[in-house]
Amino acid sequence: MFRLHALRYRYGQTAELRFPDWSLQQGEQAVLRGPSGSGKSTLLSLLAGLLQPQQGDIWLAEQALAALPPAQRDAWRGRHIGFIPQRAHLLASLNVLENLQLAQYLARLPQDAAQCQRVLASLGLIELAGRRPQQLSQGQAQRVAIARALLNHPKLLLADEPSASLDDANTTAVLDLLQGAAQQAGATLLIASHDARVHARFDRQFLLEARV
Amino acid sequence: MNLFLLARRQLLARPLHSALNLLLLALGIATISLLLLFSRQLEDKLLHTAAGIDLVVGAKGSPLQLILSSVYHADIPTGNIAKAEADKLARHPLVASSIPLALGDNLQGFRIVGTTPDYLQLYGAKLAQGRPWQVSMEAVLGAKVAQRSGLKLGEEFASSHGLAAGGPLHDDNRYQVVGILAPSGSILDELVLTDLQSVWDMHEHHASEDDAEDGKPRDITALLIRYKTPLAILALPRQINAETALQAASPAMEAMRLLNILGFGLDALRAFAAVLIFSAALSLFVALYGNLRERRYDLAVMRLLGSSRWRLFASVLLEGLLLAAAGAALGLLLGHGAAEAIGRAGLTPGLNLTGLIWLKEEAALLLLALLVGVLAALLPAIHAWRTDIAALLSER
Repeated sequence: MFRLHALRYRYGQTAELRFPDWSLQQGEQAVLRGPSGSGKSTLLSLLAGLLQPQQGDIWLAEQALAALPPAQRDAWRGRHIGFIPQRAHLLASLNVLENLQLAQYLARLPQDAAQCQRVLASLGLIELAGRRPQQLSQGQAQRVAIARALLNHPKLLLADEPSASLDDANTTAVLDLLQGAAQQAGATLLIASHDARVHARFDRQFLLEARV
Repeated sequence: MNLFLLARRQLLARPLHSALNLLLLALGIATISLLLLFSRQLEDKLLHTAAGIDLVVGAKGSPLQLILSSVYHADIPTGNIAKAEADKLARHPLVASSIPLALGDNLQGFRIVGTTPDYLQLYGAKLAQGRPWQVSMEAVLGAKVAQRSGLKLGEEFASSHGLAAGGPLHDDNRYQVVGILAPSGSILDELVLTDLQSVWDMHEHHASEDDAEDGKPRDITALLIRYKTPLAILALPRQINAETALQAASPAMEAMRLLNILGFGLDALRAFAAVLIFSAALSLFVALYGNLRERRYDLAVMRLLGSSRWRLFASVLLEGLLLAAAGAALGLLLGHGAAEAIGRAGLTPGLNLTGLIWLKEEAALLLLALLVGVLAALLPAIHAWRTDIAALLSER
């Protein structure tokens, strides 16, 4: 599903991150480990096309990300990548259902309220459809963010510290949901985490060294 | 879901901020709209009423007062002039036509004007009922006079002495209504028209012996003149003012002078409205810019979901535009509502201010409001465009 080749990303003039030539096949699941500052979030942002590497290539589903012009890269991200940030970051002015519809709109896909409701129902969130983000618990908001990421049938699901500030029960629930949903959708899953509870659930692990 | 709905939701999410900005902009637009309506209608009224009258001749005094009293019926006359002198002037080779006016009485505050049927033709007046006056003490009512007084054809009324309501009644000599004019929007709507002889008959005891002819007074208040040739524009007023005891004044010039005098006040109000609009722009800018900090995660998530930088730019710009458009619409509504209310309350007598017309300039006002919205939102939109998503999303 994705392949990295001689990938380097430089912050400012001196700090440089070097990434091994990793790859993941379609449907595989893996965790990205490493100490703080090792570049876990940066790699996710590179994979999502939010950052541009100074050197090397990223191939996603046989598409060289750097070859796409910015606007197409944005559209490609909307359609093929589901990204779950550390915090849910749902738009407070929209309700849960509308937050999902926004994902369809921004990805330039036909807006299908029934599809949004199906995804919410499949994750046990349908009763939250009309609620505003302020009315959700942190765990509920995180699950809605997962529903939003899954909505457009992404090829690659990226999650950045999904267990951050969640208790054990919620961490288990969120990981069950993520792994189950990714498996069901046939999506590749890569989770960046420094949480041992998360590491324990994955056979495939990528380890990033401390920054050079 | 679309950018328009999103922008609307973002504005509604901060109702107080949005309402205050909306109100500030609306007040500025309303003030300008009201001023536009007032100045345009005043200008139209002044020029329309004076159309067809090249020169007014009356007693010596203030030329503006002469024009206001004889053309707009809004001031007291400068005095009376001898009919014989006016007749002499009417036969002047540079004069094409003339209409005498004699004032002195009123009906419930509406002026009674003694004149000739030519005065009806000057404004293209049409009778809704009855016929023109033919003999002394027959009267034709303007549309507004008929409506306010409730007088019908054939009914009689007593005039009050003077030009304002409340004077002593001439109960011994009553007018009979023989005609009622159709509404025309002209000054005639607010006048009672009658024969010159009626005014003379009514004021026999006021007439000076010098002007009497066969024991009857022969004074008029003013003579409205139309030139035979453009050459008269310079020659005739100068000749009258220099060589006779009369005063000649040009309605066009006096109207422009009046508009210039009023213009200072209107300009001050326009400047005040401009300050209001500038304040609205500043307030909108501060609100949008300040709100960006709260919304930076929203913008980052939108990028994450596939939005291009330009869409983020457009979404913030749209918020400014939406608020500006709503402010402009509300402002125009308020401006027109205020104009109509002022007109209906009778606060602009003689002008009949209305808010039920739209001016071409108001399209420019709408564009100005939208421009204000765009300018206020431009910098915040540029900041949205430059949002560093990766840095924001990795914040803990």
